[in-house]
Amino acid sequence: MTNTATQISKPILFLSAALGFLLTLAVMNGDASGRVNLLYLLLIFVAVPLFGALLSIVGLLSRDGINSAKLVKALPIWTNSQRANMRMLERQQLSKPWYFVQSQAAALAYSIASLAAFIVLLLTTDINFVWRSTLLSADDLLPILRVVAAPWWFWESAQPTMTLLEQTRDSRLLNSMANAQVVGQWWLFVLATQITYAFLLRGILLTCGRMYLATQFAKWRVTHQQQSKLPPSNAAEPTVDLAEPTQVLPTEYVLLNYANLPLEITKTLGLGNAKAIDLEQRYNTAVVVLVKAWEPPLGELHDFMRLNHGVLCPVYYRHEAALPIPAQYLDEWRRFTLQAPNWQLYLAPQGIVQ
Amino acid sequence: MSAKNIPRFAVVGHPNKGKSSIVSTLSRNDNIAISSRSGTTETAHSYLVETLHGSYALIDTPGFQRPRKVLQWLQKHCNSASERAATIKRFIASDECQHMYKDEVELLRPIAAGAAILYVVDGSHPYGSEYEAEMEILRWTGQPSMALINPIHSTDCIPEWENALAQFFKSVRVFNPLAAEFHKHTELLATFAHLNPQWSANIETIINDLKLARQAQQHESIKVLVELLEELCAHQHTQRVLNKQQAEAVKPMLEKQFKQWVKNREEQASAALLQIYAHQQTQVSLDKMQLPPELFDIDEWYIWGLDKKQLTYAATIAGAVSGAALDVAVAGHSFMLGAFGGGVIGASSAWFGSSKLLEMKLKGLPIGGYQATVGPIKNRNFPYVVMGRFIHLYRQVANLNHANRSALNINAEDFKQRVEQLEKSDQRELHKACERLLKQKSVDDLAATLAPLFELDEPSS
Repeated sequence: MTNTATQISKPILFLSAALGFLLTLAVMNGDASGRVNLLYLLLIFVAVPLFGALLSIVGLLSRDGINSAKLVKALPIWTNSQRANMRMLERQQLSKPWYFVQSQAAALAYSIASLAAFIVLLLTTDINFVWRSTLLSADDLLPILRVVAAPWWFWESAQPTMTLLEQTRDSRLLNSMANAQVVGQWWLFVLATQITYAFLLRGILLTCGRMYLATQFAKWRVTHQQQSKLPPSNAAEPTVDLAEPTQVLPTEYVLLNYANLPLEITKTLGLGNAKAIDLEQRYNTAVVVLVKAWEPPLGELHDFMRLNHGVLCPVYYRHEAALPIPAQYLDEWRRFTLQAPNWQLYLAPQGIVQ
Repeated sequence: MSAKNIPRFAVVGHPNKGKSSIVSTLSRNDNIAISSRSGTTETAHSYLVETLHGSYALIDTPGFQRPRKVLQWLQKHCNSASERAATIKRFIASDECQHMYKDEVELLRPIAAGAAILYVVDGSHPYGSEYEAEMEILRWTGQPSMALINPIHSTDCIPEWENALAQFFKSVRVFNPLAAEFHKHTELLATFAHLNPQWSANIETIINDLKLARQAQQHESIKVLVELLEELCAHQHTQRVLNKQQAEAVKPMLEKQFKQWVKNREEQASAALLQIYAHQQTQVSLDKMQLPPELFDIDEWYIWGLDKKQLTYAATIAGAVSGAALDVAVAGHSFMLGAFGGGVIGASSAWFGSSKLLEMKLKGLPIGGYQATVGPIKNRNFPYVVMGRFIHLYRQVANLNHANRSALNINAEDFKQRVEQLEKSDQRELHKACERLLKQKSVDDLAATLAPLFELDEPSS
């Protein structure tokens, strides 16, 4: 999963970092006198990152996500394997958290590049931070700046002050600032806004996003492992021992029609006259019990067999004619007979297995 | 609805007449043990069938083992018809009967507790009077009942069973749990509603839920095919190498991996399909998919594995973005020439300079080279083969009753005819979608394009 995320995010990271570096260079260069409007910087380093982070969170929480993420996917720069990874993420229903993580990574790359560009400019050129406004005065602006600077309250030198505000107010009618040293003093405040609202905020969101993605992926993997495998082949039913049928009847026996076979059928068997069965009776001689081949042996027959001895004679018939017994029925009787001591399974000539 | 008001049906009868099969099919549960050997079910077990807005219980029971003796016991302990239901309860409560007639006690207990009776017989063999004892016992319970004739092997003896059963049951239906189509399940459920008027509203709700669930299952199946098609048509196995000779050397391994991946992916889709229809035990034998020959190729790659075209696009975007940054810096006074110029410079440098990247290294690591590739498959028939195989399996799975434990297979022979059965406009859409898939282009609402293929022989519900 980590590999997939890293692999796909490289071009995004590169593009974001390039954009951050170039935009910061362009904005921080200022005008011909190196003057940079502090209020523009607040827009770029506070309002835009906050709005962007909010948009990401809304995108993650909303049902359909934010379509800009899908636009990124439509860019013709993805390799087949990257597209396959994206499809896989969609299938796993992880594309939303994935887009969230990617956008945080992109924003982080943007802010790091932006910070780098800012530091390069601080080292190599003079940046003159000024502010201009038609409507706002220093008194109006200070409370706003204090709210912005609240997260780094402990960093005294990066806090805005009324004196600094008043000293750095600019007008385009004026050609130069009275004190060039003063206008550079905002750099700590600007650096702190970048670190807080771009770098730290996106870093926290990226960490949370990655943790959420990992949890969701783990959940998906558990379900997927259950769903993605075809059932293994069934183990064959255990073989059971079966009684060997006999074709010899006892010399003396009583024929019992347990199954209420029609008279026409009992006659065709040539076994003599069959009597109705009394399940409670104990016979002195062997008994031949006629059963329907297709009916499974019941407990009541088993009870009767415990009182007596003899043979079971399964009969299979249709339209008053005895027929060979299908193997599946005969096996059931063979299994049953094997468990009954003093009993055998008799196969009448008509009962030869199909 | 309270648990007491949930419709409950005890499925009873002679051993080995398909009681468990009926419960398995109606409850859509293929974990219920079914065997050709009698006596598989030894205790009564209740299966709750839950839908979105309702539920009912099916109780699988052991078969009658000593019906004649039990009837004798009941007759001996009952003085008048008004005491019959109470006598049944005494029979169930009796220690002696619990010991001697375990199966009958087990099967009568849920009925005495209020379950309706579904009496199951086999319609492929002749009726016998020995069944009358068990039917008489069931009549003694006084509970609403109906008979189901299960034609296990044939329908030969259904008329004689119908005549006999009509003497004991108000309603007699033929139901084959192995082969009955979905609409027959719902028809049968509708007849259950007549057994107890208090249950009819709930059963009606359940029937509606089942019909909606059936549609949802079809939609889910289409989604599985969409994913399968998109992935199989786009899939590529690659291996980065230093030169063309190395690429040739890895060809057999890559081809083997590619084929294995295709097989695994198709198995995954089949498993997902079985999961949608809640078939957990069904076996599927997947014949090997015939893949077109000559899937192997050797490509050049550049930074991040991009090919020449992708690198050009990436460089164009990067150039345009950089140019746009300059446009911003000069507050738009450049008339966006920065973005335009940056794009052109990026594109042309990537296009003309890419061949040099093949030889270049960054900190000792190459930033370009060759890669051996297998896939994606470009053969025009390939999407149809994938669809044909999947839909063939879908038709079997969607119509497979849970009592039917036979293995399924994949065969796409009739797929051409199936496509020809579609409306001409649907055929055109399908062909267009396949073309786009093969060109690695996204298809808008592929699911809607594939849906007519699934609806062709959907049985009316």
